[in-house]
Amino acid sequence: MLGLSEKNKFMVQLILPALVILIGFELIPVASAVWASLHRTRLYETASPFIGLANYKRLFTSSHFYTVTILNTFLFTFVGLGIETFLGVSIAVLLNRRFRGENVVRTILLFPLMISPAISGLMFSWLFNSQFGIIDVVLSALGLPPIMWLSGRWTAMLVVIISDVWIWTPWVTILILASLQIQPQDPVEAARLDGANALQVFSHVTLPYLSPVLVITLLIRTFDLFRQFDQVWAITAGGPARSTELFSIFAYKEFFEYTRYGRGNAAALMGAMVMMVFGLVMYRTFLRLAGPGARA
Amino acid sequence: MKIKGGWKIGWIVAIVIVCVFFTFPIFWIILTSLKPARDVFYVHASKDFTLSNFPGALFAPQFIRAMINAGIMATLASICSLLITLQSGYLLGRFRGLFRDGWFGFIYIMRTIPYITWGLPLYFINQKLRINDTYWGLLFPHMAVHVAFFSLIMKGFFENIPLETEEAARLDGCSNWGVFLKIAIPQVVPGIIALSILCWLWTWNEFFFALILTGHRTPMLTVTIVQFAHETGIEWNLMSASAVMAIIPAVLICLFAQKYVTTGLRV
Repeated sequence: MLGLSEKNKFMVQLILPALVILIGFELIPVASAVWASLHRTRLYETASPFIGLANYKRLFTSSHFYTVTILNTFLFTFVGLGIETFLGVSIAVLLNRRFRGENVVRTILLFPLMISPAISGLMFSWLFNSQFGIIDVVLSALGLPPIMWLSGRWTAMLVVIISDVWIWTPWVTILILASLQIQPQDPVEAARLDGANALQVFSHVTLPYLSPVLVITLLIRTFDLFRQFDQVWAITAGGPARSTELFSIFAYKEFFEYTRYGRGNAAALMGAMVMMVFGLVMYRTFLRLAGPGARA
Repeated sequence: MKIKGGWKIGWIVAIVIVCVFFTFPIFWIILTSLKPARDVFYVHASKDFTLSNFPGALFAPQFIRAMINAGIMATLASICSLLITLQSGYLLGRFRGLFRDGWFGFIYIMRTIPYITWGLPLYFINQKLRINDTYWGLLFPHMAVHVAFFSLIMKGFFENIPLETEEAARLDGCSNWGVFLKIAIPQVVPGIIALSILCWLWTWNEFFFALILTGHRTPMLTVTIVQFAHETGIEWNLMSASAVMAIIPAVLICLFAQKYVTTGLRV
């Protein structure tokens, strides 16, 4: 590395291993996905002629892609994010005091995070098994008709969302709780002396205090919800009749089940573009909260 | 904050609901794993218990191999991910300027790209590199996944150690690498422990890359269990037993390591 100062050389050395891995196993694959999406690439076919944006056009003109894949992905992301945030923060507020059995409750909250999301998915597909699952057993014990949860699109989506809420709400709770416990109490006391009730204290003092952690947590949750694959695969594998496919599942199946490698990549790249644009829009916020000097 | 009267009861009820909600699915899978096959559709009514599902699941094709492989992968991934991200975290935490900000932006954008977008092409790239269905073929993408998160966490740890000791060592003639390895690293050991535990768990539990990049030569635990469940469909007693066995190592590690993780990570 000629012409570089000692310090610059050191900085390059620091990132070099990570950079090589990122380029070799993330950037090059993405570039190769871009190439494949512009060609008619199918498994077992040797020729892959250039077809421009035809793969993308096919997706945009297919109503399945709009009304199922895209709709499901956004629905899953927004509903999941909403419920996880609300429950996660609420539980953190509930737990933010000293009480007997505090450690037990906190350990319980760690359980969902220890279990593989794929296995949690299987667990939920058993709970919501038609007829024999415990949920339906309880429903019929209450005199209600059993529901064929995984045989309908919206009920299956509901199960998928519930499983995600089960897995990830504790994560939100743990992060929020950690910062609630080191919240300075003076502003809270001052607001209370001014006659604010609990709700007002929360929305005017605590929530602004929490906002940096909350924003980072939600940002990471959004990236992860949007690209969700594991539980959905374990619970429905996209079924019944491809009606619960999120875009990751759609892309996976286009390739591994229908051998349409190019079109699968086009779908995967569209998802990536949505997230990258969202990521860029949020970059300044992220930088402010996690950048120099801030605790990430 | 003190709460009293009706509120107190409401609070207790809420806590109980939270605990039940987060433990019930696990309790149910454990209960199912202890039921004989003929009772599996009547778990709630059955009074019989058996341990025979565990050997049944353990000796299912490839299960033991998959478990060993998952353990090896998880250990390799923890070590290798830390070996490449500690430096990157140090750069983010200790340096200022365009180079650092550029790197920050780069790993951030890479983090936003969904796994599927690089997972599909990796299937072919690994074949070209002749590392498909091997430890290496799975290890490298796992390392790539961790760069952003690990660097950010380590950044926080490096920022929190006082600059003075590093500067003193530098004045004593210590090189950049010397300062990093001998002064900085020993002070961030709690972070290293926390991240290696998290990484171990994450890899042990990982499903997506294992599904695409491994096959029968290097079976992975989660994929083996899910495929077993999808193929046999109705053997919920065996599925539950294999799930319980996959959960046990993770739970043991977590209970043992809980204090390192929670004190190590203040995100």
